[in-house]
Amino acid sequence: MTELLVEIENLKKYFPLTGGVFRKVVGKVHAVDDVSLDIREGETVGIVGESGCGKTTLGRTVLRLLNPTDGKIHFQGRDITELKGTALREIRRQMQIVFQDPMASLDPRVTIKNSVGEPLIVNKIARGPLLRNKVLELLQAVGLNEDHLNRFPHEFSGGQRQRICIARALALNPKFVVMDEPTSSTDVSVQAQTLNLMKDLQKDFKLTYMFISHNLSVVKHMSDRIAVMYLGKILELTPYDIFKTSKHPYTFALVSAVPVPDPRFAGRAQILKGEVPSPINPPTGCRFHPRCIFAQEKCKLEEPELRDVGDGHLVACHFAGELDFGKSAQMEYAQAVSSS
Amino acid sequence: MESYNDDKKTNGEDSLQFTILAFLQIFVGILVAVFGGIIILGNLTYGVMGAFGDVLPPETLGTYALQSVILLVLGLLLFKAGLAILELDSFAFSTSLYLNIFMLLISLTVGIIGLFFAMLSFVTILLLFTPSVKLYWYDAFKEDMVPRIKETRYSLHLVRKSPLVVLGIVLILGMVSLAFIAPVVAPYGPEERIWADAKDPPGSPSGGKNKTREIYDERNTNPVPRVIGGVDWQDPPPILIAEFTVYENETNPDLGPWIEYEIEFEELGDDNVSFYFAVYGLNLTTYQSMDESARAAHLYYETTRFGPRDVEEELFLYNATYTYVYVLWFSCDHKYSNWEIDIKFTILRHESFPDHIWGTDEIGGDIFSRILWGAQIDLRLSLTIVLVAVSVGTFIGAAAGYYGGKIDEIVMRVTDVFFAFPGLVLAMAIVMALGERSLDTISIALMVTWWPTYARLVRGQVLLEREKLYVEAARSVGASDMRILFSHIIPNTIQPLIVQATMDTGGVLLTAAGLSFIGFGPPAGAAEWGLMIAKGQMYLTSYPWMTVFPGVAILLTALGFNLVGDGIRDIMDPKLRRR
Amino acid sequence: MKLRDFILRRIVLAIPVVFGVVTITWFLAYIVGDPVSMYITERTPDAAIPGIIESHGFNEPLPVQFFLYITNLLQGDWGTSTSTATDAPVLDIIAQRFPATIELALLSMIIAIILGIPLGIISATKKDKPVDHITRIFALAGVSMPIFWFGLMLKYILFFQFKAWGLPYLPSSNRYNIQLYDHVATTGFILIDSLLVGDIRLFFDALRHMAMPAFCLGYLVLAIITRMMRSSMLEVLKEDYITLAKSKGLTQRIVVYRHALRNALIPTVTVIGLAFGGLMTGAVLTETIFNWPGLGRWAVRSILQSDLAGINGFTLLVALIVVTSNLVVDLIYGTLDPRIRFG
Repeated sequence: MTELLVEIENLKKYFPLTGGVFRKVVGKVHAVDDVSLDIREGETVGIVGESGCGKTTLGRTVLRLLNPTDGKIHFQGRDITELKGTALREIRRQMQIVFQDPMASLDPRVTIKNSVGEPLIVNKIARGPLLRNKVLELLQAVGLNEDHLNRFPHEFSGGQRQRICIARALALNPKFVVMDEPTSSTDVSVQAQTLNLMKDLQKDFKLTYMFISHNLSVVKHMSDRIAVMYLGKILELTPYDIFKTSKHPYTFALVSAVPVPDPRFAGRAQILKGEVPSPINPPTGCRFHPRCIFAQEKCKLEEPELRDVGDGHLVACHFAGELDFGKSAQMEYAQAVSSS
Repeated sequence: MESYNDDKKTNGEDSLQFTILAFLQIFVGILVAVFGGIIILGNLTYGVMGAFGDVLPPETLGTYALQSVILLVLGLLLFKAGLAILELDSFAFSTSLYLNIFMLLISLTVGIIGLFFAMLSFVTILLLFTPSVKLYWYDAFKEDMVPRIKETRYSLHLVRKSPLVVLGIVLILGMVSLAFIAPVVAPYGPEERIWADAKDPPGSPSGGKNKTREIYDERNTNPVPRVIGGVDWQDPPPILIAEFTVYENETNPDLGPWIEYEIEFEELGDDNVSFYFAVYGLNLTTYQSMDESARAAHLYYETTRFGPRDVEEELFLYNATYTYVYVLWFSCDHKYSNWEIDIKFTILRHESFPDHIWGTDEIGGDIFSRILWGAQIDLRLSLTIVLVAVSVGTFIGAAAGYYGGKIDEIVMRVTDVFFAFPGLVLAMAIVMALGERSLDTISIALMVTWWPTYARLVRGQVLLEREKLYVEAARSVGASDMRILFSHIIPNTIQPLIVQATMDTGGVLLTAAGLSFIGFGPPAGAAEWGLMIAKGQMYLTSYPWMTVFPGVAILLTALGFNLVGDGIRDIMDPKLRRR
Repeated sequence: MKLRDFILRRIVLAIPVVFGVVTITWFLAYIVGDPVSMYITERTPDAAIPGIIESHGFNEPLPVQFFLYITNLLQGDWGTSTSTATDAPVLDIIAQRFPATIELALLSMIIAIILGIPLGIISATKKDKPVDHITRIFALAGVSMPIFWFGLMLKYILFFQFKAWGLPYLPSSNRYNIQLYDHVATTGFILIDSLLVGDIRLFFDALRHMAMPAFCLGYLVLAIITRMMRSSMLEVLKEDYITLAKSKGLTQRIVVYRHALRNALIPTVTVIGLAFGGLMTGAVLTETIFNWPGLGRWAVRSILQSDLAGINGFTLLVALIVVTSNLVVDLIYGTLDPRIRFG
C-alpha cells in the first residue's frame, strides 16, 4: 500500500450570498459540503459531476486557493488548513493547479519564458541564464521548443497554451497537481494528445493527480479512482470501471447520458428528471432524492453516509447494491462491441 | 548560446564593479528622490501659503513642478533597482538601463543640478557596460528585447494603418516641438508689445525702424492702509518688486537705454495716494540677497510723489548690465478699496522687426509669437495636472482595489462626491477658495478635480485583474502580494490608464483654458491661449484674428490628444491584436 | 435583487453623496474667508444682524455652525447673493434663472440626440469607410472644441458677418427681443409661455435667439452621443442574434433598425443622462458668451464679484442636479436591463 499524500476530512466551503438594501448576508451557497477523500501517492483521483456540483471549488480549496469554511486538509501528514504566509507559500511549491482556461491563466503581457519561469523566480530557485535553461527543459518536456521561449500567449494554439500551463505547474517539481478540466477547451484530437502527455509526465515526474472533469470518458481514461460529486457531496467513490459497475442511481444516470455511437442503442438513455436543485437550499435527506426515480420516504428524511460496498468502493445511497438499474445503452453497446 | 550554459560567467558576485554599480544606484536614487520631494514640498508649502496670503513662490519651484514629480518616482525606482542589483537580480540591470536613460533626459531639463544628475546617470550607464557586468545581463536582455521589439513593430504597423492616430500624433508632436523651439522661433517675446503695431491684421509688416517695446505689469492689490506724513518709507513692504530686461539692440551706444515709465492707478476715489518708485541696476536674485546699504550703490533712479497721481517720466539708465529691478512702495488712506496699478515701460529699439504673420493684438503683441509661447504654458499646465492626478489617483485607486473593505468603501464614497461636481464648476469653486488667480491656482484646482477619475478607473481595473486566472496562477506558485500587484495587476491596468490620461490631457487643456477665459487665469498680458481669447472677445468684430488663432491652437492640441487616445485604445489591447 | 430593493439601495447610496456635496461646499465657503458674508450684506439692516448671527451660530463652535448650515439649507435659506442688481436670496435667483438654463440645456440635448444617434449609426454601419472617418473626426472635434471659442466663432459668422453681408442672421444675445415683445413669466420657459399666450411671433423670436447658444452647447453632447452610439452599435452588430437576423435574409436596414438599434440605445441613454454634468459646465461658458440670463452667467458674475453665497448656491445646485440625474439614469438602466441589478 502506498503512502497517503492528501487527506481531506469533512471539508466544507460555503460562499456567502448578499442581498437587500444594505447588502446583508441572506444565505450561503453550499459549494462543497462535507467531503472526505484520501489521495495516495502516485495515483490519479478523478472528480466528475455536472457543472455547478462544486468539483472546481473542491480542487481550489484543497490547494488553499480558497479558504475552507470547515474541515481539515492534510498534506503528507501535515495539517495545512490553517497555514498562512511563508509557510503556505512553501507548501504550495508541492501542490500545483492547471486551470480550465489556458488563455486566461497566462498573463497576456508576459512572455512564455517569464510565465513558465515565474515559479522559479518567485521561489528564488533560478534567475538569469540559469532560468532560461530550466524553462527550456520544462518546455521540452511538454513538447515545445526554444523558438517558443520569447513569444506571447496569444501566439499559441489552445493545446499549446495548455501545455505551457502544465509546464508552469511542473516548474517547482510538485508532488500533487490538480487538473481542473484541463482539456475541456480544446478539441478532441488535441485533447487525446494532452491526456497522453499528462500520463507520461505523471510517470516521469512521479506526480499525483486530482483530475477534475465533467467528461466521464476522459476521467475514466485518466483515473485510478473516480469520485462522483453532486451538489457539493461525493455520492460514489469507485476504483472500478464507472461504466460497468456504478452502484449509485446518479452515477448510473450520468453514465447512461453519455451518447453511444450506434443507433441501435439510442433512445434508451435514462434521463434525470427535473433540474439540479439550488445549492443555496439543498434538499434534505439524500441530496439526489428529488431527481431519483428510486426515491423512497427514507431518502427524504435520512442522509445516507458513504459506505463501503466492497474493495474500497464507497457509495452514499441507502439502497446501494439493492437497486436494479437494468442495462444501460453503454453497457449493451460495450457488450455488442466486445462480442462482435 | 553557450554563454547560458556557462555558469561560471555568472559568478560576478565578488566583482567590485557590481558593488560600485549597486551603491551608486542606491545613492543616486535617494538623492534624486529627495530632490524631487523637496521641490514638491516647496510647491505645496507655497500653494498652501498662497491660499492664505500673497506669497509668490520662487520661479524655479513653479517651473519644475512637473519634473519634481517624475524625479521623485524615478528616484524611488532607481533606489529599488540598486537594491535589486545588489542581489544580482537579472531584471535589475535592464531596468536600471531604462531608468538611467530616462533620468538622463529628464535631468537635462532641470537646470544646473540636473547636469550633475545627468552625469551620475551617464556614469551608471557606463558601469553597466563594463565587460564583467555586461556579460552578466546583456545577452539575456537582448533576448528579452526580441519579443518586445516585435510587438512594438507590430504596434507601429497598426498605428500606420490608422490615419486618425497618425494625424493625432502629428498634431501632438507638432505642438510639443513648437513649445520647445518657441524661444528660438518666436520673433517676439511672450509679453513683448509694440504699440505702433497695435491691431495689425495678419501678414502686416512691422512699421519700420526705431520702435518702442513695452513691458506691462498689471496688479490688483490691497495696499497697506496708512496715513501719509512723516512716515518712514522703508517700513511697509514694497508692493511691487520685479525685474525687466533691456536688450543690446535697445541700448543707445552714446546714451544707454532710454526708458519711459508710466504708472497708472485705477479706482482712485478721494484717497490720498503717495508712492515711492525706484530702479536698481541689479537682477532680482541679487537684489533680494543684498541688504539695504549694498543696494543703494546700485540705485539708478528714485522718485517720491504725494497726491495726484498718474505718472509718466523718462529716464536713462547708464549701465552695462541689462537687467534691472524696479521697486514700488505705495500708500493710501482708504482701507477697503481694491486697487489696480498698471506699470508700463516703453523702451526704444534700434532695429526693424519681423512681420506679424498672424497679426497683433490690441496693444501690439504679436499673435504668432504669443501662441508659440502659449504652447509652452498650456502644454506644461495640462501635462502637469494630468500627471499629478494620475499618480495620486493610481495610488489611491490601487490601494482601494487591492485592500478592499473599509478603505475601498470610503474611497468610493469620496469619489462619488467628487463626481457630483462637473469639472469646471468644482474647479471654479476651488479657485475661489484659494483666492489668488494664477496658473498655479488653476493647476491645483484641476488636480483636485481630476484625481477621482483615475482612482475609479484603477480601482475597477485592479478589482477586475485580481479575479483573473493568471493572478490566481501566480498566487498558487507562491508569488507575494507585492509581486502580483506590480508584475501582473499594474501592467495590465496601465494601458486603459494611458488611454484615459491621453484623452484627459485634451479635456484638462480645455477646462484650464476655459477657467482662464472666465478670468481665473494668470494676470492679463500672459501668453496663455484662453486668456488671449478672452482679450480677443472684446475686439471680435474688428480684429477677429485675435480670437481665431488661439482657438485653433487649443482645438488642434486637444484634438491631437483625443485622436491618439481614441486610436491607441484598440492598438494597445493585446487581446484584440490578432495576426 | 428585487426591483424595489434595487431602487431603495440606490436612493440610500445617494444620501451620503448629497451629504458629502454639502460638506464640500461648506468647507470651501469656509476657506474662502467669511461665511458670514453669505448672509449679511452691506444692505442688510443693522437690526437684523444679531438675529442672523444667532440663527447661523456664527458665535458657536464649527460643528454647530455646520449643523446650522445644513438646517438652514433645508429650510430654504441659501444666503443672499450680491452679484445681481439688488441683493436677493439665492433661492429666488435660482428660481428666476433656472428655466432659462434648463430650456437651453434641453433644446441643446434635443439637437444632440436628433443628430447624434443617426450619425453614430451611419458611422458604425459604414465602419472604416470615409464616412466613418469624417464622422469620427467630427465627433472628436466636438469633444476637443473649446466651447467658449466655438460660441464666439458662431457669433462672429452667423451674427456679425451675416449682418454685414445683409444675410438673415441669428441674434447673439438675450432670450428674446426685449424691445419688440413682452414676456410674462408663468412657467419661465419662454417657448411654453408664448404658446400659452398664443404669441406665435414671440415663440419664433425666442427660438431664433436660442438657436446659436443651443447648438454651441449641443455640439459637445452631440459628439459624446455619436461616439457612444457608434461603439455600442458596433458591439451589438457583432452579436449572434444579428448574424442570425442577417442569415434570415433581412435587409441591412431592417437588421440595424429593428434588431440592433434597441439594444445599442441602452448605453447611449445612460450617456445622455450623464452628459448633464457636462451641459452644466458648458452652460457656464455659453451663457457668458451669449449673454444668456441663466444660472451660468450668474455664477461667473458671482465669482468675479466675490459673491460667496452665489457661487456656493450654484455649486450646490449643480451638484444636486447631477446627483439626481445620475440616480435617475441608474434607476432607468436598472429597470431596462435587469442584469445591472445584480452588479
